Amino acid sequence: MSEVITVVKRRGDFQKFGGESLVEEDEEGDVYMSDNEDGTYANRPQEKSVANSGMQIVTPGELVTDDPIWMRGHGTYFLDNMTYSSVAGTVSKVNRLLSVIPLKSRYSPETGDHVVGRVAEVGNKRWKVDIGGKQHAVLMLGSVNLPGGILRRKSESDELQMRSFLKEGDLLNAEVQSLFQDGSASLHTRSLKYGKLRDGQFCEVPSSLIVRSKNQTHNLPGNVTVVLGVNGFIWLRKTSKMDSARDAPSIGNASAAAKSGPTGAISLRSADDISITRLEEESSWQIYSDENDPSISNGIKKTICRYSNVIKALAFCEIGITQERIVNAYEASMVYSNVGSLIERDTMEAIGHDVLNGEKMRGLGN
Amino acid sequence: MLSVTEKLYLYDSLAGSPTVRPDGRLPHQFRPIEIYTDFLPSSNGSSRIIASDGSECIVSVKVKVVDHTVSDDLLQVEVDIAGQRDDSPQVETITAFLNKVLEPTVGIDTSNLTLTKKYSFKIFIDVLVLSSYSHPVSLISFAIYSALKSTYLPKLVSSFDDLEVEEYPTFHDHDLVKLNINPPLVFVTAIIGDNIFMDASASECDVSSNGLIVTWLDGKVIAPIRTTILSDNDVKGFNPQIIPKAIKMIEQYAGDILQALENL
Amino acid sequence: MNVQDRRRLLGPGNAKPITFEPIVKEKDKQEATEHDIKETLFLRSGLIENCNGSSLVEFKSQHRQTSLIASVYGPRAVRGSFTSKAAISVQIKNGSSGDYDKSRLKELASFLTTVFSSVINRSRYPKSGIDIFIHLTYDRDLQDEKNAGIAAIIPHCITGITLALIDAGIEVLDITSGGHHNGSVFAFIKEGEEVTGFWKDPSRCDDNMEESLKVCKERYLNYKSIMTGYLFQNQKSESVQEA
Repeated sequence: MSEVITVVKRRGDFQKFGGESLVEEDEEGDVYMSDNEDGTYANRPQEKSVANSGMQIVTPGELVTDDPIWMRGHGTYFLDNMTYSSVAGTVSKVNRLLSVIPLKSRYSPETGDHVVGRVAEVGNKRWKVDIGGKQHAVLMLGSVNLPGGILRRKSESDELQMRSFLKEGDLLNAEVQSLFQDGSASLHTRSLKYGKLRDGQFCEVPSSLIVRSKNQTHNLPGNVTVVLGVNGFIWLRKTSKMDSARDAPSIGNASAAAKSGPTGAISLRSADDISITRLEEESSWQIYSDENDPSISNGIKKTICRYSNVIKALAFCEIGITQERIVNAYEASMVYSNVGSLIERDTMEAIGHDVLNGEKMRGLGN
Repeated sequence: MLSVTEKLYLYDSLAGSPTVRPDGRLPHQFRPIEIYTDFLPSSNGSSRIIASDGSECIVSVKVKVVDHTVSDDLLQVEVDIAGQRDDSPQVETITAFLNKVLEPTVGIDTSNLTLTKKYSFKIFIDVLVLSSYSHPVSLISFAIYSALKSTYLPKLVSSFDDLEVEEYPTFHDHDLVKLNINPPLVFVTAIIGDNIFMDASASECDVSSNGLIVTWLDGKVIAPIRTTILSDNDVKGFNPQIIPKAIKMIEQYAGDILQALENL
Repeated sequence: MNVQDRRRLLGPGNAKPITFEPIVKEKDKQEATEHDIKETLFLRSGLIENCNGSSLVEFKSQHRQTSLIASVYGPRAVRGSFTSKAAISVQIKNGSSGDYDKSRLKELASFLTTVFSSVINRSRYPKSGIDIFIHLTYDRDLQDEKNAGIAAIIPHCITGITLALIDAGIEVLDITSGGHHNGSVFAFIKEGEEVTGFWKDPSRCDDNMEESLKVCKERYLNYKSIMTGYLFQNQKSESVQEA
């Protein structure tokens, strides 16, 4: 394998159309069919009669239930008292509501989600934000913090200078405030943990891989903070004072601030104690500034690249992304000193295996 | 489309020294690619190339017997980019450039296409770019290379000297001969500050101030060479000394790429 | 005799047939002054009325004769979504006897677009478009009838567009021009410190990049001084007319 480029011959179904292997493929097809007959068809009816039989995967057009008692949710349709699936995914049954959650789909926003989005359009008193969903989300001028005091009313001059707050292409993190009738989201950034994103790099994974947790912003080892948007948009940045301040209370209560952990994030706190409320008072045009922190060292940039590559590796292996897994994958990636080698397929698979094996080991240990 | 802060961050990382690329690659490092060859049953040769960012391109090679005393133009490329009109500037530019690259005056040796004293094979290369996130010409040239390398042509059974006998060449019913031709490779480098990068990703293209398309054959850089813009943002002039620097980088690493394509 | 002819529309009684003054050949004047130099470049701007800016470039050397007209339309508003920078388009029409392939001219047009993307101060014109047209009126290679070396006309296209842009009052970062040597073209700004475009076609001669760069830079400086000279003169004659 050369260091400059890896070229591999693709192995996949597509290649099988190439003549010689045609016979083989037929045989395999037969085997698959017979598998299907003993396996699926035998099992399915039983599963369907049992309401709560765990994870069930269905394909479009497949009969999910013939029991008319169920209410039909997303991803299903109803014909002659039978409920069929309209997407490929897992069946979810909540009380009397039956829906199929697709394995792969665009992000569908829910109230309270912490998302990362990119401004697509500046409109009348609102921004249209691309959050990777079916529709652009809306961020109203009234749902953002305006410079010069958090409690200020929006004025006409604000409407005229919307592009000086947020313009096309700008990245921001926000919370889904409410949903419209058609399923599109209305966002708000009325907290200092939301707003324009700076000092880092963007990375995107399928939204289904993001595991929702209490907190979507995490300080990682190496002085890097990650914002894991529930919509699969991820922002990696240098840990700011505010990021470390956010973590500080829990650590500060537990032990003395002087006892600094391995993250490096805590040591920043002792330097200057800034509370979030104080930052709010100081919020001004600075919250919409387009300038990065000038002190980002090459080391931090490399660490950010490494995190971005391991997140992509986890996504490549279709592993759900959580803070622990990112940290574990990061540690597993340390054996590769060249960050650039993490884009190779084999390396990504090896990291995925390491993470899963590590979890298994820990599971056994407990 | 990138935000202002992302652009500044990327530009600082890429124009600085040492450079930090967003995926940690070295300046001359390519992203991995996957290639299928010889999968179109109705073509003499074919290849499908998939880059790790999802860019994808299909090339088909077909041949026809022509009288080379009428026209000695034996290679012809046609490019189709999904979602673009055939007369869009990008499609026309890439088509004209690739045809120039495959002109015999540039350096490709077409003597292996000669069948008889009167007739030759003419090669028609059809390129279909299914998706592309940065300048596709380099990917296309890799695909053309592997398609031509997997091309098999019918074996000639009639005599070589047919000037007097006025007959068309005839071919063997089953036997095929592997085409032996060495097309040039094309590389795109992005210029960011005073640094150069091979195989720039979409975000790297967005902060590039200019780009250079370079042709390479047999260990050295040859004409045609062009500057091109890789994205519409922040196009700027650059230091003239960057051109020899880029040529040096390509001459240093192109051999490895050729080998990787050969070892498929 | 004094019966008026009422059936026809007649002009006034004192009408005279129009006569044209003999055409003053400005080109000859210019040529005379620069006769000892091998190349002569004749420039003229603002000759087309219905566009925002235009220019005429005539070039003559012992190898080649080229004449082209550049016209600029814009900046004009573009519809659709917001863009923070002006979009540039270049189109080339061949009216000469030179046999250029249509797709090669398109390639050249997109090359010129790249050159001027870095020269025009595009951020001054958000949500606008600038259209540039080049009409190649005459082009002949005096040495080689067959060889249609498209590279040789690039510097003149660049010169022509630059003048037309200045005539249209569109902001440019610097006066750009380029030089051609053995199939290589370099376009420069900032006294040759920065390259805005590089085009290299295969040439018969054994080429040396360093040498091409040097020759092209010299030619660029020469063309640029002719252009600035012309612009100063033009300014002067305009201010005289106003006074």
